[in-house]
Amino acid sequence: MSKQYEGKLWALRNFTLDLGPGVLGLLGPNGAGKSTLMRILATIANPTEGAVRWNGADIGEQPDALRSELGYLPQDFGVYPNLNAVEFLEYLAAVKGIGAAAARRRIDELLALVNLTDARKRPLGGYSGGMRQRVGIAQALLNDPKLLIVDEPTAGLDPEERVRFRNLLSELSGERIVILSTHIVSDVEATATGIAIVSRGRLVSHATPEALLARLEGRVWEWVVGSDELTAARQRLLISTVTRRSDGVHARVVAAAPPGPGAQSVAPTLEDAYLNAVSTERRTEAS
Amino acid sequence: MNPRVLYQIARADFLERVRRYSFLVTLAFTLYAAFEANRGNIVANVGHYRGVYNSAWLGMLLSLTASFLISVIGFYIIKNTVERDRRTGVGQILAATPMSRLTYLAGKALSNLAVVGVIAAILLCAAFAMQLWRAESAGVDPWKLAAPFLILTLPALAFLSALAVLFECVPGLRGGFGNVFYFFFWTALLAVGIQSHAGPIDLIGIGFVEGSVKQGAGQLPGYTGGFSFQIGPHGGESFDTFVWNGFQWTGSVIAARLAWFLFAFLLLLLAAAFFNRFDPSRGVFRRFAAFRRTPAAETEGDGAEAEPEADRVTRSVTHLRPLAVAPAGSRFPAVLVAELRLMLKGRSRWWLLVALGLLIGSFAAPAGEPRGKVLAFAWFWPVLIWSAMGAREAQHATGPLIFSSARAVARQLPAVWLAGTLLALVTSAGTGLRFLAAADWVHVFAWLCGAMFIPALALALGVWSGTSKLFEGLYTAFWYAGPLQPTPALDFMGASPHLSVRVPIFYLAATIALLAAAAAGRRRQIRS
Repeated sequence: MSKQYEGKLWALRNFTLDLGPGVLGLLGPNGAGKSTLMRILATIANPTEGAVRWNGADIGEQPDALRSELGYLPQDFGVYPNLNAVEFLEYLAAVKGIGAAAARRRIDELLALVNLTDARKRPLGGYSGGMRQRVGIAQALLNDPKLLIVDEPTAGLDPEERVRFRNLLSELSGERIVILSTHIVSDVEATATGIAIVSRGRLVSHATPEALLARLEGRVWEWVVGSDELTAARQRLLISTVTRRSDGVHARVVAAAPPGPGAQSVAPTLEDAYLNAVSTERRTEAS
Repeated sequence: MNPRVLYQIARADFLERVRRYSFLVTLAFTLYAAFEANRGNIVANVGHYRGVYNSAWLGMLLSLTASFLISVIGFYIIKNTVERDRRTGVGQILAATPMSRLTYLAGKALSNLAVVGVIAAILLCAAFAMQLWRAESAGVDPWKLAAPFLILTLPALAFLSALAVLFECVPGLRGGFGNVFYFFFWTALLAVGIQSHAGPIDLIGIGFVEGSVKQGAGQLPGYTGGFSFQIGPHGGESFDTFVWNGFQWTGSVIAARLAWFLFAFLLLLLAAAFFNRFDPSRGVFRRFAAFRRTPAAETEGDGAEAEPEADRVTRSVTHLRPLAVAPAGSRFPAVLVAELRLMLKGRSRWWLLVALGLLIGSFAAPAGEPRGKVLAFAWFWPVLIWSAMGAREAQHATGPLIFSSARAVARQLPAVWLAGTLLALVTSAGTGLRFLAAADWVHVFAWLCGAMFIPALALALGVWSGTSKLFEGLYTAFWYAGPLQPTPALDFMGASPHLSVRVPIFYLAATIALLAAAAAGRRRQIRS
């Protein structure tokens, strides 16, 4: 599928992806088209060309085929400030077509899961950003979705809650599809069974984390350079991280051959793989 | 007040507004008003005379049109500048700068003035075009054409621009109550202006216009007094014409008009005192409350943002069990109940008490005009509940959560409408039952149609505008002109003692059209 906005900007171009159960980590730079992709998958935007199929049904034609099995946590969402968490979730449960008794049980469990049991009766208008985000996570899980789409779900969460959420995603992924879009590579590293890298509206790579890492085996180096050489090194090499130590600057370099004397081969990380994929795509586009 | 900062605030805000689709709609409406004026559907007349369409008369006519329309409709258009910064989060950034509250609000008022100034400028151009088009008077006098805009309209617009900012800063006036209150404030201001005959409280200058035109028409044969300014069809009445040479701009008149700029500045000072600088814990009321708070209470903090201590304790992760019952295909009653609860949530006891009083009144009111009046008030009291319909998802940014649910159009939207209809039926149950008991079928039919029409109107306007303001302003004016007066053709609820069945039939048809419009609007929202 492709999606073009007014002003002729193509947010997605010839984008093809097949998904099965598991957690798909969606990575890409700002403006890559991740949120557009999520909105289309969540049935609240239409592709300009092509189609999205859920179990064979075109969700452009039959959005309800997916909506009843969909949980969606958008990047930006609001709440009704005068309702408390239980009332808000009861409201959304009704809108999603969940029966009252089942909804009550589910809401109790979800509020415990996202650690909001004690704050359940407080108006949402008084919630902190992180607490509101957890309400968002709870609503996305209300209908026990077969497809769970979460856009930057850990934004605003403290480290403890982030770990809880990562564990939850891993636990949930057994029989369902979870699509996790984030800039936090460590979140993807901890949970994803598959990774899709998007850049400039195109799918750059779709593979398992192991496959992505295997591609970089023997191509990541730790190299100690002087501070004065760093700028020149950045211009000719792909440097993923830099750490300053007493013996100089330790640069992590992605390159086919050792970047210089004394460079040590190290195990690749997903961050290396992501940067390499995006950088390769940019070079290809430029040429 | 740094002029450069002032200019940049006003400029950015103005550009943001004029680049929105809604501004194009405003311009289209202004052009339509000009078109109607040219068709003769906006007239000022003294008895059976009107002025020859020379520069003086058209300047007066179109400036009065500008002042009148902007003071009632324009106010609602511009009353969102601070709210936009609050909603977009830009306010948080601005609040962290050294800019003073007065500078910020003055910039916003200037932007308001620029927006309504564009509308007035279009009508000024229309006055010029009309003189050429109608060709009743050859010589165009630019001063006579423009002076009423500069001396009568501009000060009124400055005052309204500041007033809109004040309404946005005062907690009680910021929301729906303020929108409804403004209509009555405007009506009172207009009435006072007409009575004052160019006195210092004649905002749009209508008393001054009336005095000047009547003076010019004093010696006309058959003229016995009176002045009328009408927007809308006037029944095809034809007028004799006379030459009116314009206003006498005396020093006292100009001073009285300039005073409105001073009033505008005073309003801004008042607004600055109320403005909370995007911190809900601030503002004059909060500051006063903080002053009165005891030290013991102070140590507790408001706690609104703090997370309970218990939440910080790490617990074992609760495992989620599969949902006992899968989501069912149709659970319309549950959605209806949820919508009703959402509608009524947060209403104070006072609100309920007044609603109950009106309900009892609707049972007790005698037939005829009193029953109609009680019905009118019973259906005015829930205006702020209805006004949230359709706009709630945009106002609270819950759209993505709700629109990604199954049957958002087929289930949630009808549930919202039906909840609004039930509210209308319950709040006026006494009147309906009394109509039934009297076997007054036309009024029963009108009552049912009214109960369906109001939420349909609210829903359509809310969905398409994304704001509750449009319904609040329009419904208040509609209610005032129709059921309250009552004007039979505009009586959408059957408050008139004598009612033709054609009226409720019309509003039933309008209900169907509005519901279709709401559904189309919601589909558009869902699949952007």
